[in-house]
Amino acid sequence: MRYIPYLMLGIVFGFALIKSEAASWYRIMEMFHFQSFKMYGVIITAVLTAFVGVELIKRFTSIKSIEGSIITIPQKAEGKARFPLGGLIFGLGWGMIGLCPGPIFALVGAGSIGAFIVLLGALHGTWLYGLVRNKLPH
Amino acid sequence: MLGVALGGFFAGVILPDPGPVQLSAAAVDTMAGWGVSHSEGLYPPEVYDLGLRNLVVLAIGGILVGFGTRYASGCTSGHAITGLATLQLKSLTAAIGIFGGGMLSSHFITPFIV
Repeated sequence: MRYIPYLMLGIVFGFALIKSEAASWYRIMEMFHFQSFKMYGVIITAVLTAFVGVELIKRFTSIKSIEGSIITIPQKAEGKARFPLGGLIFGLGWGMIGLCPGPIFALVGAGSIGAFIVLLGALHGTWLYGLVRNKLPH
Repeated sequence: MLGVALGGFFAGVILPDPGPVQLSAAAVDTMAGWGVSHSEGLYPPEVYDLGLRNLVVLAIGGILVGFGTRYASGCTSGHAITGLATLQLKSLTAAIGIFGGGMLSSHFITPFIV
């Protein structure tokens, strides 16, 4: 039962990824070719909404998590080079297949076999990273 | 992850949007130039249907996505959205890397593999 709020939030997120067409190969290619503002509108709206939500949580400490604790915003992982380099590698994949991690799961749920192949590839990618992480600059 | 997949099932299978994704005229031209169909659904069958070439492309793309996401410690939602919304400089460098990579491959790789 305690997992139900997380499940509900996931359902909302997955639903939004499909309906906003963030999980659409067409829409992502159009975005990377600067041929429409639509997907940038989706991303900017998400950033602004998240910004307002985070500011409200910071200012009103009476806003508690579903477990009743105070919400702290964790900082990103340690390092410097890993962010642009990892981002570049991820972006190369995103521009090839039009799916980033969230939409992979949403499109698998929507019944796409192709997205399932991408998911298998991505799992192998995370495993490969584990193999070579000691040799990479972070 | 299960929730996101369930949300995708509701939005894509139970309540799908009819017809093609409404693209700009410029994007429609690009798709036509690539020889990619643009009728029903969120993606072209030429790219996602199972065949040897598509399997290889989808697997390699997936590997890059998985590897890069772990290396950068976050993806579009982790860096470009929540990272920027919490004003973290690291996430800005990741977002620049992500969009740079996407522009490179979508211009110089994707046209030759669809």
